[in-house]
Amino acid sequence: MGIATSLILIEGQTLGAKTIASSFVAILFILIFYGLFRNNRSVKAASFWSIVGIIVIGTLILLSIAVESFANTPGALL
Amino acid sequence: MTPIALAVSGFMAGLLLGTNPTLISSFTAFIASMLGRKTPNSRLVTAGFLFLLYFTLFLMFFSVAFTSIFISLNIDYQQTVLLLTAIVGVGVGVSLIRRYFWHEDVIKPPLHVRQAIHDKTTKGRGIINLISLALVVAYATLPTIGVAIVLFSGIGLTVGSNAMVWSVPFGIGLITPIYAMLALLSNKTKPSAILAWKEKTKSTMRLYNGLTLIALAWLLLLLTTEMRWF
Repeated sequence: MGIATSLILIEGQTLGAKTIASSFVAILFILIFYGLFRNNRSVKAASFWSIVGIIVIGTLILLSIAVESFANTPGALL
Repeated sequence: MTPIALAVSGFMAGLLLGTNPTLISSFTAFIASMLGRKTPNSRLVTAGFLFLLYFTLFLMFFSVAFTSIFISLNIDYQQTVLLLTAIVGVGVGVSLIRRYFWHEDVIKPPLHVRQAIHDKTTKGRGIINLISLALVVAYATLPTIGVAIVLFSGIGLTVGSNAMVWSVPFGIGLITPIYAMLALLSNKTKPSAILAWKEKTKSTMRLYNGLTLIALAWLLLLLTTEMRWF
Protein backbone atom coordinates (compact mmCIF):
# COMPACT_ATOMS: atom_id res chain seq x y z
CA MET A 1 0.00 0.00 0.00
CA GLY A 2 2.83 2.34 0.94
CA ILE A 3 4.71 1.57 -2.30
CA ALA A 4 1.50 2.09 -4.33
CA THR A 5 0.93 5.46 -2.64
CA SER A 6 4.52 6.50 -3.34
CA LEU A 7 4.16 5.52 -7.01
CA ILE A 8 0.92 7.50 -7.32
CA LEU A 9 2.60 10.52 -5.72
CA ILE A 10 5.65 10.32 -8.02
CA GLU A 11 3.42 9.82 -11.07
CA GLY A 12 1.22 12.73 -9.96
CA GLN A 13 4.20 14.99 -9.41
CA THR A 14 5.56 14.28 -12.91
CA LEU A 15 2.17 14.86 -14.50
CA GLY A 16 1.69 18.06 -12.47
CA ALA A 17 5.09 19.46 -13.42
CA LYS A 18 4.47 18.62 -17.08
CA THR A 19 1.04 20.29 -16.93
CA ILE A 20 2.48 23.50 -15.47
CA ALA A 21 5.36 23.67 -17.96
CA SER A 22 3.27 22.90 -21.06
CA SER A 23 0.46 25.28 -20.01
CA PHE A 24 2.86 28.20 -19.56
CA VAL A 25 4.52 27.46 -22.92
CA ALA A 26 1.08 27.38 -24.59
CA ILE A 27 0.11 30.69 -22.88
CA LEU A 28 3.38 32.22 -24.12
CA PHE A 29 2.62 31.15 -27.72
CA ILE A 30 -0.87 32.65 -27.48
CA LEU A 31 0.54 35.92 -26.13
CA ILE A 32 3.07 36.07 -28.99
CA PHE A 33 0.25 35.40 -31.47
CA TYR A 34 -1.86 38.12 -29.83
CA GLY A 35 1.10 40.52 -29.96
CA LEU A 36 1.38 39.99 -33.71
CA PHE A 37 -2.34 40.45 -34.49
CA ARG A 38 -3.52 42.61 -31.59
CA ASN A 39 -5.50 45.08 -33.73
CA ASN A 40 -8.03 42.42 -34.68
CA ARG A 41 -10.95 42.37 -32.19
CA SER A 42 -11.77 38.70 -32.73
CA VAL A 43 -8.12 37.73 -32.11
CA LYS A 44 -8.31 39.57 -28.78
CA ALA A 45 -11.36 37.58 -27.59
CA ALA A 46 -10.01 34.31 -29.01
CA SER A 47 -6.64 34.79 -27.27
CA PHE A 48 -8.22 35.58 -23.92
CA TRP A 49 -10.61 32.64 -23.99
CA SER A 50 -7.81 30.29 -25.16
CA ILE A 51 -5.72 31.35 -22.16
CA VAL A 52 -8.72 30.87 -19.84
CA GLY A 53 -9.27 27.41 -21.33
CA ILE A 54 -5.64 26.41 -20.75
CA ILE A 55 -5.77 27.72 -17.19
CA VAL A 56 -9.03 25.90 -16.41
CA ILE A 57 -7.76 22.59 -17.85
CA GLY A 58 -4.41 22.94 -16.03
CA THR A 59 -6.17 23.75 -12.76
CA LEU A 60 -8.51 20.78 -13.10
CA ILE A 61 -5.59 18.40 -13.74
CA LEU A 62 -3.65 19.74 -10.76
CA LEU A 63 -6.75 19.72 -8.55
CA SER A 64 -7.45 16.09 -9.41
CA ILE A 65 -3.83 15.14 -8.57
CA ALA A 66 -4.03 17.07 -5.28
CA VAL A 67 -7.36 15.51 -4.29
CA GLU A 68 -6.01 12.06 -5.19
CA SER A 69 -3.05 12.59 -2.86
CA PHE A 70 -5.42 13.83 -0.12
CA ALA A 71 -7.51 10.69 -0.56
CA ASN A 72 -4.45 8.63 0.34
CA THR A 73 -4.04 10.47 3.65
CA PRO A 74 -4.80 8.13 6.55
CA GLY A 75 -7.71 9.44 8.58
CA ALA A 76 -8.51 12.40 6.29
CA LEU A 77 -12.11 13.17 5.30
CA LEU A 78 -11.48 14.12 1.65
CA MET B 1 11.23 22.30 -2.84
CA THR B 2 14.21 23.41 -0.77
CA PRO B 3 14.05 26.48 1.53
CA ILE B 4 16.50 28.33 -0.78
CA ALA B 5 14.25 27.66 -3.79
CA LEU B 6 11.33 28.92 -1.71
CA ALA B 7 13.22 32.12 -0.81
CA VAL B 8 14.17 32.74 -4.47
CA SER B 9 10.56 32.07 -5.55
CA GLY B 10 9.41 34.55 -2.88
CA PHE B 11 11.73 37.26 -4.19
CA MET B 12 10.80 36.68 -7.83
CA ALA B 13 7.07 36.63 -7.07
CA GLY B 14 7.46 39.80 -4.97
CA LEU B 15 9.30 41.53 -7.80
CA LEU B 16 6.62 40.60 -10.35
CA LEU B 17 3.73 41.54 -8.04
CA GLY B 18 5.48 44.77 -6.96
CA THR B 19 5.16 46.10 -10.49
CA ASN B 20 1.55 46.80 -9.63
CA PRO B 21 -0.07 49.85 -11.31
CA THR B 22 -2.20 50.70 -8.26
CA LEU B 23 0.76 50.50 -5.92
CA ILE B 24 2.94 52.64 -8.20
CA SER B 25 0.27 55.29 -8.84
CA SER B 26 -0.72 55.55 -5.14
CA PHE B 27 2.90 55.91 -4.06
CA THR B 28 3.67 58.44 -6.85
CA ALA B 29 0.55 60.47 -5.91
CA PHE B 30 1.67 60.48 -2.25
CA ILE B 31 5.15 61.75 -3.12
CA ALA B 32 3.73 64.21 -5.70
CA SER B 33 1.43 65.69 -3.03
CA MET B 34 4.51 66.41 -0.88
CA LEU B 35 6.39 67.83 -3.86
CA GLY B 36 3.40 70.13 -4.48
CA ARG B 37 3.74 71.47 -0.92
CA LYS B 38 7.45 72.19 -1.48
CA THR B 39 8.50 69.55 1.05
CA PRO B 40 12.32 69.38 1.40
CA ASN B 41 13.93 66.42 -0.39
CA SER B 42 15.28 64.88 2.84
CA ARG B 43 11.79 64.84 4.42
CA LEU B 44 10.29 63.41 1.26
CA VAL B 45 12.83 60.57 1.18
CA THR B 46 12.30 59.89 4.92
CA ALA B 47 8.51 59.69 4.43
CA GLY B 48 9.02 57.37 1.45
CA PHE B 49 11.33 55.09 3.44
CA LEU B 50 8.90 55.06 6.38
CA PHE B 51 6.14 53.97 4.04
CA LEU B 52 8.33 51.20 2.60
CA LEU B 53 9.34 50.06 6.10
CA TYR B 54 5.76 49.88 7.40
CA PHE B 55 4.57 48.20 4.21
CA THR B 56 7.23 45.49 4.56
CA LEU B 57 6.50 45.02 8.27
CA PHE B 58 2.76 44.68 7.57
CA LEU B 59 3.52 42.08 4.91
CA MET B 60 5.74 40.09 7.26
CA PHE B 61 3.16 40.32 10.04
CA PHE B 62 0.37 38.99 7.81
CA SER B 63 2.68 36.29 6.40
CA VAL B 64 3.55 35.00 9.88
CA ALA B 65 -0.09 35.30 11.00
CA PHE B 66 -1.47 33.32 8.04
CA THR B 67 1.21 30.64 8.40
CA SER B 68 0.42 30.30 12.12
CA ILE B 69 -3.30 29.96 11.32
CA PHE B 70 -2.56 27.30 8.69
CA ILE B 71 -0.36 25.32 11.10
CA SER B 72 -2.96 25.45 13.88
CA LEU B 73 -5.67 23.87 11.68
CA ASN B 74 -6.12 20.11 11.60
CA ILE B 75 -5.29 18.13 8.42
CA ASP B 76 -8.82 18.15 6.97
CA TYR B 77 -9.17 21.93 7.28
CA GLN B 78 -5.61 22.44 5.99
CA GLN B 79 -6.36 20.41 2.85
CA THR B 80 -9.70 22.17 2.26
CA VAL B 81 -8.21 25.65 2.79
CA LEU B 82 -5.28 24.86 0.49
CA LEU B 83 -7.64 23.77 -2.30
CA LEU B 84 -9.88 26.83 -1.84
CA THR B 85 -6.88 29.17 -1.72
CA ALA B 86 -5.54 27.75 -4.98
CA ILE B 87 -8.95 28.12 -6.68
CA VAL B 88 -9.26 31.75 -5.46
CA GLY B 89 -5.69 32.43 -6.66
CA VAL B 90 -6.52 31.11 -10.14
CA GLY B 91 -9.74 33.19 -10.21
CA VAL B 92 -7.94 36.41 -9.28
CA GLY B 93 -5.19 35.59 -11.78
CA VAL B 94 -7.72 35.18 -14.61
CA SER B 95 -9.44 38.48 -13.69
CA LEU B 96 -6.05 40.24 -13.82
CA ILE B 97 -5.21 38.66 -17.20
CA ARG B 98 -8.59 39.93 -18.48
CA ARG B 99 -7.39 43.48 -17.72
CA TYR B 100 -4.50 42.90 -20.16
CA PHE B 101 -7.00 42.48 -22.99
CA TRP B 102 -9.71 44.92 -21.81
CA HIS B 103 -8.80 47.88 -19.59
CA GLU B 104 -12.22 48.45 -17.98
CA ASP B 105 -12.88 47.33 -14.40
CA VAL B 106 -15.55 44.70 -13.83
CA ILE B 107 -16.73 46.65 -10.75
CA LYS B 108 -15.94 50.37 -10.66
CA PRO B 109 -16.81 52.62 -7.66
CA PRO B 110 -18.86 55.78 -8.48
CA LEU B 111 -16.91 58.90 -9.49
CA HIS B 112 -17.63 60.80 -6.23
CA VAL B 113 -16.29 57.87 -4.15
CA ARG B 114 -13.11 57.70 -6.26
CA GLN B 115 -12.70 61.49 -6.00
CA ALA B 116 -13.13 61.37 -2.18
CA ILE B 117 -10.51 58.60 -1.90
CA HIS B 118 -8.13 60.55 -4.13
CA ASP B 119 -8.58 63.72 -2.01
CA LYS B 120 -7.98 61.81 1.25
CA THR B 121 -4.79 60.29 -0.16
CA THR B 122 -3.31 63.40 -1.71
CA LYS B 123 -4.72 66.46 0.12
CA GLY B 124 -4.45 65.33 3.76
CA ARG B 125 -1.45 66.30 5.85
CA GLY B 126 1.00 64.42 8.07
CA ILE B 127 0.07 61.08 9.59
CA ILE B 128 -3.55 61.19 8.28
CA ASN B 129 -2.16 61.33 4.75
CA LEU B 130 0.10 58.34 5.43
CA ILE B 131 -2.70 56.29 7.07
CA SER B 132 -5.09 57.07 4.18
CA LEU B 133 -2.43 56.00 1.70
CA ALA B 134 -1.76 52.76 3.60
CA LEU B 135 -5.52 51.96 3.65
CA VAL B 136 -5.94 52.71 -0.06
CA VAL B 137 -2.88 50.63 -0.95
CA ALA B 138 -4.06 47.76 1.30
CA TYR B 139 -7.54 47.82 -0.32
CA ALA B 140 -6.27 48.16 -3.88
CA THR B 141 -3.54 45.53 -3.64
CA LEU B 142 -5.36 43.01 -1.43
CA PRO B 143 -6.63 40.91 -4.35
CA THR B 144 -3.10 40.43 -5.69
CA ILE B 145 -0.67 40.74 -2.78
CA GLY B 146 -3.10 39.41 -0.14
CA VAL B 147 -3.87 36.33 -2.23
CA ALA B 148 -0.15 35.84 -2.92
CA ILE B 149 0.57 35.92 0.84
CA VAL B 150 -2.10 33.27 1.50
CA LEU B 151 -0.78 31.14 -1.39
CA PHE B 152 2.78 31.41 -0.06
CA SER B 153 1.58 30.52 3.45
CA GLY B 154 0.19 27.32 1.96
CA ILE B 155 3.39 26.67 -0.02
CA GLY B 156 5.46 27.30 3.15
CA LEU B 157 3.26 24.80 4.98
CA THR B 158 3.80 22.11 2.35
CA VAL B 159 7.58 22.75 2.30
CA GLY B 160 7.67 22.86 6.11
CA SER B 161 9.62 26.11 6.27
CA ASN B 162 9.42 29.04 8.64
CA ALA B 163 7.37 31.99 7.26
CA MET B 164 10.45 34.22 7.45
CA VAL B 165 12.17 32.11 4.75
CA TRP B 166 9.80 33.40 2.08
CA SER B 167 8.19 36.52 3.59
CA VAL B 168 11.44 38.54 3.90
CA PRO B 169 12.53 37.96 0.24
CA PHE B 170 8.91 38.46 -0.86
CA GLY B 171 8.73 41.82 0.97
CA ILE B 172 12.11 42.94 -0.43
CA GLY B 173 11.05 41.96 -3.96
CA LEU B 174 7.72 43.75 -3.55
CA ILE B 175 9.18 47.09 -2.45
CA THR B 176 12.00 47.08 -5.05
CA PRO B 177 9.91 48.75 -7.82
CA ILE B 178 8.50 51.31 -5.33
CA TYR B 179 12.01 52.00 -4.07
CA ALA B 180 13.04 52.66 -7.70
CA MET B 181 10.12 55.15 -7.96
CA LEU B 182 11.27 56.87 -4.77
CA ALA B 183 14.84 57.11 -6.10
CA LEU B 184 13.58 58.62 -9.37
CA LEU B 185 11.27 61.11 -7.66
CA SER B 186 13.89 62.26 -5.16
CA ASN B 187 16.24 62.84 -8.11
CA LYS B 188 13.86 65.37 -9.71
CA THR B 189 12.11 63.01 -12.13
CA LYS B 190 8.64 64.45 -12.76
CA PRO B 191 5.74 62.40 -11.26
CA SER B 192 3.84 62.96 -14.53
CA ALA B 193 6.60 61.08 -16.42
CA ILE B 194 6.28 58.09 -14.04
CA LEU B 195 2.48 58.16 -14.27
CA ALA B 196 2.64 58.34 -18.07
CA TRP B 197 4.94 55.28 -18.10
CA LYS B 198 2.59 53.51 -15.69
CA GLU B 199 -0.44 54.26 -17.93
CA LYS B 200 1.45 52.88 -20.93
CA THR B 201 2.52 49.65 -19.23
CA LYS B 202 -0.27 48.97 -16.71
CA SER B 203 -1.99 46.27 -18.76
CA THR B 204 1.32 44.38 -19.12
CA MET B 205 1.94 44.72 -15.37
CA ARG B 206 -1.50 43.17 -14.73
CA LEU B 207 -0.68 40.31 -17.09
CA TYR B 208 2.51 39.54 -15.13
CA ASN B 209 0.61 39.80 -11.84
CA GLY B 210 -2.06 37.41 -13.09
CA LEU B 211 0.40 34.86 -14.45
CA THR B 212 2.40 35.02 -11.20
CA LEU B 213 -0.70 34.28 -9.13
CA ILE B 214 -1.65 31.36 -11.37
CA ALA B 215 1.92 30.00 -11.17
CA LEU B 216 1.80 30.24 -7.36
CA ALA B 217 -1.62 28.56 -7.18
CA TRP B 218 -0.43 25.70 -9.42
CA LEU B 219 2.80 25.39 -7.44
CA LEU B 220 0.72 25.08 -4.28
CA LEU B 221 -1.40 22.33 -5.81
CA LEU B 222 1.73 20.54 -7.06
CA LEU B 223 3.46 20.72 -3.68
CA THR B 224 0.43 19.37 -1.83
CA THR B 225 0.95 16.10 -3.70
CA GLU B 226 4.51 15.89 -2.32
CA MET B 227 3.49 16.58 1.27
CA ARG B 228 3.22 13.77 3.79
CA TRP B 229 -0.09 14.48 5.56
CA PHE B 230 0.59 12.30 8.59
